[in-house]
Order: sequence, then structure tokens, then C-alpha cells
Amino acid sequence: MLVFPMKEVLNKLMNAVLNYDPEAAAKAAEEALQKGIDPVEAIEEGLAKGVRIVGERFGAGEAFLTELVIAAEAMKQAIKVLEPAILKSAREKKTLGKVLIGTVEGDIHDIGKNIVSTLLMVAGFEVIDLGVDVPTKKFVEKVKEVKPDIVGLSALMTTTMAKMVDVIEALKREGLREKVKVIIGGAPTSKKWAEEIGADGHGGDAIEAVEVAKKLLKAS
Amino acid sequence: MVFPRENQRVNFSVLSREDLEKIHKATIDVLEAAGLKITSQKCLKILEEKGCKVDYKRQVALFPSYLVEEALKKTGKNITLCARNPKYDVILDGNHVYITTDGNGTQTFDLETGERRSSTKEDIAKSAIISDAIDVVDIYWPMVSAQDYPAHVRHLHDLEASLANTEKHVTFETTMSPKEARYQIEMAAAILGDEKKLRKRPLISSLHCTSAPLQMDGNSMEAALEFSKAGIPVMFFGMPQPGATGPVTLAGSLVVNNAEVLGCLALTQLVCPGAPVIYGAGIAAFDMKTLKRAGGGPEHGLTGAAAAELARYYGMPSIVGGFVSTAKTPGAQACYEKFASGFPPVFSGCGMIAGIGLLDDCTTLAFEEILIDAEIAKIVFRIAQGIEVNDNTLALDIIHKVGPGGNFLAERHTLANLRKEHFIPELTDRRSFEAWLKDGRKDLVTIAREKVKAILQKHQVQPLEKGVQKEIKNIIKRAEKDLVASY
Repeated sequence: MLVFPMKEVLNKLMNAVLNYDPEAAAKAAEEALQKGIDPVEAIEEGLAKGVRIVGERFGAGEAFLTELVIAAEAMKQAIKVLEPAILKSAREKKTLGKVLIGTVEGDIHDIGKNIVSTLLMVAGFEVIDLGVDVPTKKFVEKVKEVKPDIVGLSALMTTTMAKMVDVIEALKREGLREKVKVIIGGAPTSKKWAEEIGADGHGGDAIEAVEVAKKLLKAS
Repeated sequence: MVFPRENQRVNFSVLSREDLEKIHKATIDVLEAAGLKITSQKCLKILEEKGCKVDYKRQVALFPSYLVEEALKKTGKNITLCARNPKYDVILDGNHVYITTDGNGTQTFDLETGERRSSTKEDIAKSAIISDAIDVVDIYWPMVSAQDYPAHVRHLHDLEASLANTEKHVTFETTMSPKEARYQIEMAAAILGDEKKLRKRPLISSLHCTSAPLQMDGNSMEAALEFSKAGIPVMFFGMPQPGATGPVTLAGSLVVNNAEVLGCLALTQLVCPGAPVIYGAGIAAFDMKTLKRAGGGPEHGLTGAAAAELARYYGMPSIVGGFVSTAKTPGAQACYEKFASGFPPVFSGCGMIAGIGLLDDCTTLAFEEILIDAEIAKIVFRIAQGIEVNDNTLALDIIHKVGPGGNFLAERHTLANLRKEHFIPELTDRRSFEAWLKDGRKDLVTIAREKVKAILQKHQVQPLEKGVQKEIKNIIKRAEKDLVASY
């Protein structure tokens, strides 16, 4: 008997994302909790479904980035509501993998890294975003703490891209380099540069970054 | 794609008020002293009765200025070009810019073989479907003529294929006799039921080219009068080529064009007072080295804008050539010439601009070019729209909210205003080099061809009712016997 109302709430969650409406998403999340729907199911069968549809539209050149970002924002707002319940849920959240991402020290460029974060999330990765101007030490600490599958390093300036080398060297020193894949990106970087500094992959743009992340995890 | 002038912040005039008055005065002088040659006894007689001095031997009429002034007062303002589907009605009120396909080509680049060949009725059907599908095109002019049908009924087949394959207004420029005009009127009337209904909702309009300098074919003129009698809007479209059939100076050729258009206007208003007439011009330089008309030249853009301004000065709707090119194939020259000849009339607020889809100076259809030119037209419209400055567009709240270092991607303001503020490309390739490489290094024409094929596969045009289709076929059958004699 509970099947139908549940389906209705899951649809509400999905539609809030498809309508680019973060407030409606948060409201639908509250309703999901009230009706006793498993929060992980609410994410996977409701929110993520919507985000995936927008993601596919974006990939096909039909949706705009701003739509994708707002759709992802709607999902984030709803997850915030669901979070306390998630910890109690028996079900494990399915993800493609965990990505730790940030812009390297001395560089405050945000937007490219944010777009990659959003697209990774839409693709089904769990993303931990450290923000901008992230010291090498912080990357190392966080890798130890959250044990990501991938570390994503962003730099927009030729003067800061050298910091990528620092992070990779620090990971090696700490014996962490073999445990994670490193992907780099940003306007001055290139595939050649990625090879030179010993990164595992390079994203020429946000869409390629997601492809590279998927490929690296599949290969390992 | 109707472009409302109230949204137009970027505009210009190529002629000042004083320039317009000078051109008008010169035109009156030409009509009074040099006159127009019209090769129709019937027309000359009417003109003589109404006050023109007529030399029947030279077939020339001299127009007293009052005939022109009265005609300008009488002619119908705010002309509506109706469409099979009323949502596509075009209102020529001087406050909107509309795009019509170019017409009357004789060659087509085959979509499958890529070879240039003689154009067919099938090409008309296909280009009409594409024009029906894309929002940039407001009016369909049979882009080529059905060279696979005998000349005496060819243009009836052109019209049949057009009416059947677009729900938009159909205009044409092919009528060679009043008899032929009658058949065309009958065909359009068949769709609505009768000619009375057609008068109320003219689904067709007819363009008549004058013959520079200062001549008008008698049959074409009599056909125009036939249309006027039936309430069908007509356009008089001069095409003096500066240097050859018009003075080399653009102002001089504008005078020649103006005299031809106003002379023909005067005659229609004598026969059918109040008949809807549209002011036309396609004044492109004569290229002294190749002896070709330079349809994609900057002069064409300038005279197009000037003609639109003259029409506005007279309170008449206008149609000019624009988005024209002499390039033989789609490519670099086509793009810059079409831009150069297309943007001036838009900035001047011309009513209808004809040129999209054809190459080699309006003679050759490339289906891909329809979409490429539509993209160019959209870019021009975006520039003409300019930059709106108000509380919403200044976005002060949002700037405060986002603050230093944030971004505007997640803001509702971005989503709500994106389509209004940004030109959204449909063909233009803005991908990364790598993405382009991976996709097979596709050029613009290839991308356009894929879109053309997708449209032809997917787009549905409401078919004409079976009975109407049959009636139209019967009209053509009757015309086959009747018109053959005049050839």
C-alpha cells in the first residue's frame, strides 16, 4: 500500500531537480523523511535520477551549464535535509568513487574546478571539494583522512601549476601516491605536462575530466 | 524570426532626412521628365486617362507628381501577410523585421551527391519543410523553380510544392501574365474555400521586378494588377545595377529604383485604390571585371538599408535583398558577404529581408546554407537588440550576493535571463580543439547537413486537405492547356 505514495515523493524529488528548484527539492526531502522513505533510496531513485537526466541533456548539448549547476544545487539542498537520516540508514550509498578536488596553493581560481566538481557529482562520484588556494599539506592530510580514489588538482596560472608537482611529490613521500589516481586540469595544463609531472590523467575540459576519472577507476 | 523594433537598441540610418527629401525630389523629377516605359497598351491607356502624358510609340508614360503623392496616401498601410497557420501571420507595421527565404534559383547542390544540378520540384518541397521547421524564416519564397516541369506551368508547380510543404506565408516572384496570376489566386483560394476568404487572409503575395533603368514588363504589371484586384499584396522590386543599369553612384541608382517602384505603385492605386503594395529594392553593384551582379557587396547592404529608410519615409512596408552572396559554395566568402549585405537592412528596420539559403547571387540552393544563414541572421538580431540597462539587467542584488570570488552559475537570475541575453548557437562550433578532433574534425557545412537531414526526417508539416490537394491539381491541369498557347 505504501508503494504509491513513495513513488509520488520520489517523483517530486526528481521533478524538483528537473525544474531547477532547490527549495522544492528541500521540501520534497522533508516529505520523504516524514513518509519514512529510506534517504539513500530518496537520493538514488529521486534526486540522482533527475540530475542524471539533466546531465545527459547537458552532454547532448541540450541543457546549459547553469541548469546543470542549479540541478546539482537542488540535489545538494535536499541531501542536506536527508543527511542526519543517511547516517542511520542501513543501505549503503552507491557511488562511482570518491574524488578529492581543489585548486592548488597560490591560485584562487574557482570556477573551472567547481564545474568539474558538479559534473563529477552528476556522473555519480562522491566529491569532496577543498576549495581554492589549498596548501600541499592540506591535500596530504585530507587524502589520509577521507581515502579518496582520485585526487583532482586545478590551476589556472603558469606560475601556480608548478604546485601540482609539489602535491604529487608530497604524496610520494608519504607513501600515498600508489593509493590514489591524480588528475590535473586548468587552462595552462596539457597532456604532455601531466605526463612530465607523473599525473595519471589530464582533463582538457570539464567533460573530459569526468571521462578520464571514469576510465582511471575502471582500469584499476 | 520576428524581430520587434521595440527591442532594437542598436540601429542606424544611412540616409538623413535631408537625403531622403533630395532623393524623393529627384525621383519626382525623373518620373515627370524621363518617365517609365511600360510594355502594356492597357496600362498606358489607364495612365493616360488619369493624367499621364503617354508616348505610345516608345511605350513611355510621364507621371505628374500628384499621381505619386496621391498613391502614397492611398496605398494600404500595416499589411498582414497571412499564413496557412495563423500563428505564422506576418504583420508589416514598420515595427518588426522579418526574414524570407531567397527565391527563384535554378540550381541545387544535391543533398546526397553534393553535385550542383538543375533544380526540381522536390527541392522546393524539401526547402519549404526546412523553412517551416526553423524559427528564423517567417516567409517562404520558393527557393528554386521546378526545372523538371514545362515552363508554362512551372511556377504553378512551384506554388503547389510551397503551399503543401509549409504552414507559413508564401511569396513568389514568377508571374508572367495576368492569366497565370488568376491560376495562382485560384490555387491559394482553394485552401481557404473561396476568393472572398483569400482577400481577407491573403496566404500568398507576389513580387514583381521592374526592369532597370525605368522599365516595367507589361505582362508582369498586368499580373500585379490582377493580384491587387484580388486583394493579394504585391511588391515592386527594382534591381538597378550601379554602373550598368543604374548610375554608378548609389544615390543615383536609389533614384532609378525609387522611380520604378513609385511609378508602379501609382498605377496600382489608380486601378485598385488602397491596394497593399510593398516597397522593394535589390540594388547591388555591377562588377566591371566579371560582369556579374555583386549581391554580397557592401553596396547591396547600404542600398538595402537606404531603401528601407525610403519606404519608412513613405509609410510603406519594405522588402530588400540581404544575406546574399556571390560565393559558389558555402564557406568563408558566403559568410562574410551574407553578414555584410544582411546587417544594414536589419539595423535600418527593414520589414522583410530576402536572401537566406541561396548562393552564387541568388541562383543556387544549398540546403545547408539555409541553416547557416539563419544562424547569421540570429547573430545580427542579437547585435541589433543591443544592451538593455535596468534594475534586472544591472543585477546589483546578485552581484552583492555572490560577492568577490564566487560565480553566477547557480543563480536563478542566470537561468531566467540567459536566453534573452545570450545568442544561443545552433551550428556554431565552440567546442575544444580536442572535442572537435574526436568528433571527426567536422566543418560547419557538415554539421549543417546533419541538421538538415534530421529536420527532413523529423519535421511534420500539416498536409493540405485531400480535397484541396485534388482541387489544386485540377487547377494546374486546366492551366496546362490554357497557358501553353501564350508560350
